[in-house]
Amino acid sequence: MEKIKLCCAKCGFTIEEYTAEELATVPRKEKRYKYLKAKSSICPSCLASGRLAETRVTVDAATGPAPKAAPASSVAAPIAHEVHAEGDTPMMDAMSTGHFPSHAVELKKTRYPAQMYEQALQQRRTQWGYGGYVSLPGVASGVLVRASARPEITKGSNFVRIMDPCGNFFSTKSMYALCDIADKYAYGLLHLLSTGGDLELLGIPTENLKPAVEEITAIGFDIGSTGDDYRTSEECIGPAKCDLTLYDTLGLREAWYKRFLDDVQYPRFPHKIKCKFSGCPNDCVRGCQKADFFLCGVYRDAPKINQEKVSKWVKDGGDIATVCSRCPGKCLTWKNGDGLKVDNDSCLHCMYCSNKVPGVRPGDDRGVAIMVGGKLRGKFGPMLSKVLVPFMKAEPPDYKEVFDALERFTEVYDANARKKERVGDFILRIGIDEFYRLCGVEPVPQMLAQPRTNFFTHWEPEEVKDERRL
Amino acid sequence: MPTITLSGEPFEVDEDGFLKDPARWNESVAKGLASEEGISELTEDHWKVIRYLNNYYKQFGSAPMVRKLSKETGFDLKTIYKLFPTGPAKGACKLAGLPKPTGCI
Amino acid sequence: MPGIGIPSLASSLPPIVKRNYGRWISHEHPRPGVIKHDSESGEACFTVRAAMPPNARVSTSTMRMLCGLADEFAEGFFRVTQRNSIEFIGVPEGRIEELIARLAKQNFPVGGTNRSLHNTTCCTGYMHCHLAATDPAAIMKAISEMLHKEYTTDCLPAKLKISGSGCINNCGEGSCADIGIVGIHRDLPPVNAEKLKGCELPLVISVCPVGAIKPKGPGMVEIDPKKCIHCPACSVACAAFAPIGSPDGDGVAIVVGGKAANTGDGPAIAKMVIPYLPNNPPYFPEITQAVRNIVDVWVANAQPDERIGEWINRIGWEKFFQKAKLPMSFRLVDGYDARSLEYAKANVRFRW
Repeated sequence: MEKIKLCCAKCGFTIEEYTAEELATVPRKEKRYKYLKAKSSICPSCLASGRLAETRVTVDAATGPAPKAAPASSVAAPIAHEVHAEGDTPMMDAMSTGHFPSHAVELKKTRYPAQMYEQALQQRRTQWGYGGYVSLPGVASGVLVRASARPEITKGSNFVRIMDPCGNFFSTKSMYALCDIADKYAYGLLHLLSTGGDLELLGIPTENLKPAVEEITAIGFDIGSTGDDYRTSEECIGPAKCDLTLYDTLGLREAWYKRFLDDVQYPRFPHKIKCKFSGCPNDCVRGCQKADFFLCGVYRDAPKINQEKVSKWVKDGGDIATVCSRCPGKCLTWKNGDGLKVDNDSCLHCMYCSNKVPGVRPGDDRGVAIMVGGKLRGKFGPMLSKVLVPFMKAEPPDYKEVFDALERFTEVYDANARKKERVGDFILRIGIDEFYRLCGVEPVPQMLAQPRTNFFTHWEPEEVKDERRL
Repeated sequence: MPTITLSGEPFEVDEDGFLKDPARWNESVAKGLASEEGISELTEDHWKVIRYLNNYYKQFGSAPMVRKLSKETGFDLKTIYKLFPTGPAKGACKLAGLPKPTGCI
Repeated sequence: MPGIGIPSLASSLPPIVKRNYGRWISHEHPRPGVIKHDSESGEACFTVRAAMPPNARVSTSTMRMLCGLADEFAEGFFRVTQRNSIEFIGVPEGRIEELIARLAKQNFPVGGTNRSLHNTTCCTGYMHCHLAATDPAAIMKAISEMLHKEYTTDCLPAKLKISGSGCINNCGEGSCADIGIVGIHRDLPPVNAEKLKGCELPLVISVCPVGAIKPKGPGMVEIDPKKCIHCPACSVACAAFAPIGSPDGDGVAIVVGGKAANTGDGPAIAKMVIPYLPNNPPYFPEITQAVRNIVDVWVANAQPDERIGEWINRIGWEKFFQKAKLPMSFRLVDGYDARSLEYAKANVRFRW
């Protein structure tokens, strides 16, 4: 089988590929081939412009791309691999059916350049490009550009990041207004919740950025959270609709924005900093995995047990044996007549019993733990966050003590980290013990997974003298 | 590649107006690009930041962190953002002939 | 212009939430996709949770339709959850079935609560990203279809979360979930000498996690092909190292056992069990079958309330690989980071 490739003359990047048979039998392919050969194109790889070079290779049919395996899903039908007109979207159509809503259907309802996605799926590589720059005087953060590697489909696409309201609650009134803006200026496509906690509007032409941002702020939303700043903070639903939360996550986030809004909108740190707030150790925002600074609700006394409710739940078929055996601290015991007993000495305060058994509620001695250094990539890969302060009272309305500490720890990072070094990588480089010292936190055993096993510790001469005098 | 002419001298720039070759930077570049970044007139304060950035880049081959820029020029963050409304990492670096900032990660 | 801050709490909370803010005392799951919260005021609040398209991408017309439902059933408010579901809060008890039927008509299935597949999350992938090594949105769509029954019924030992990231930058949180699908590149980034002029060379050299980028004469660098781990850190820092990725080089790795909650064995980052599977759009059969296999083995062997990571902790990795019939490879052993020796077993407590 002979293959004809049209490649960039400079870097050799393959732009289109046909079989000889296709060119002879399919008029559309032939037309496209002639068109591409005749014109000057920009290479998506090296961005050089000029005529494309043609190379012909003979390949064994058996070593060509593997035939598409049958779809695993029972719903989806296999797509026919015949040639399609430019503008057809067989791949996207293939994922437009089924029980679940489809992003492909949504994309096609908007002005999103569907061929960018379709071509990516067909060629099995992204069609978006590197680099790109957009600046909007007066807006230091919140506007980004995605360059295109296929300028003949789209030249690139700007987008704005809108910070989500507390608890990700939207009134339909504000959402209708956002839809109007998306229709007027952008593709008409909403990225409702990015995993960072923002709402993104895609495809705003550069000349429309200013009026779009003005209208967004006019309806009460604000933009920010790009660049090396505090990124949008995320919180769990907290007291708005959860019976387990240990502090007011929504109130704390509102106060956080009052205090740190400038740091969200004016980049100044070595790298991005993500703050996340979970109301209890169930950690619904996944702060321990994702956040550089993570405030987790914790409590110190024993869980409160309403024996009457628990007994009723057991009588109605509640599986108390599983709950007792799967309690990570093995501190629950259940006896008919005696009720549920908890041994606070071995309780891990993990929330498992409160999650499962109605009538078991977290205790009253509540506060937050400050965890530090979680990330999913950075330089040294995914890391769980580490305990910095195991317990601190979170006092509304301004949460001064917590935020002062947060600011102090951020300052340590800002003053000592290298450029583009996440908090977790910074700690790994300087050592967690040194980070504790720089932060000036109290050493408490709750910080420890286990004490050290080697003896390689440093003593200053003055310390030695002091200890002798004692 | 597009070319811009500043004070009678042609410069090769990329599609976003950044110099192709930062080594060719001179003060006319800063003057020529200022209006794009929302600056109507370059004052002595602007020049202090631009020269610092350019010298730092020539010496170390990278842009300084904002904290260092602020400390060395004596301008606090608010002032820098007032001088360069698109920010130190974008506008100020562009005017000082530093490389284009990349990516969202 | 920016500087106004986020919308106030008072303007975005629905009335039933405002009345009972901080007064909830218990919750239960009357049926899959519906959660009931009881307040100390005696009021009960029903929440109906529906899946959204992968990556929470909705057109304005669909959003207006959903807003219409929120106006009709939930006093003009809705909420987007961390796992990209949409929640209608405070639906009158008698109208829940009607809302579910209306949502089903629009292809929005209700489910994803308690012991079921929770809605999938993913990053933008091919839709809008220059680094993507795969298209997690399409994969998540295929997986959701495959696990439709698991989404709409409480039939699993514990909750199941599946996430997908297009590359190892992990914006889609693959490493957080019970089963994570993470795109990987396998080709070497190019070095474009022309573009290198506009690069911050010291930064590029320092971001490489393995020190594979070395200076080579003035203003030029080279990449050591033996050392490169294809992480695109250099491509992120400088356009001279782009584009990375090739149709046959790119693919995904599968990780399992990630979890954030402190219950059970506590928080964990997911661990790699399959180092590479190829991309085959639109249905990605290799990937969906691998996920099906892991889910089936877990369902058949786990105890109640045991998430995938906890089940593996109980039975051990050797039993997991045996039961899931997955090949072991040295690519799964981490020799990369400073803690690397911890990834090898240091005792002879084997399970055979």
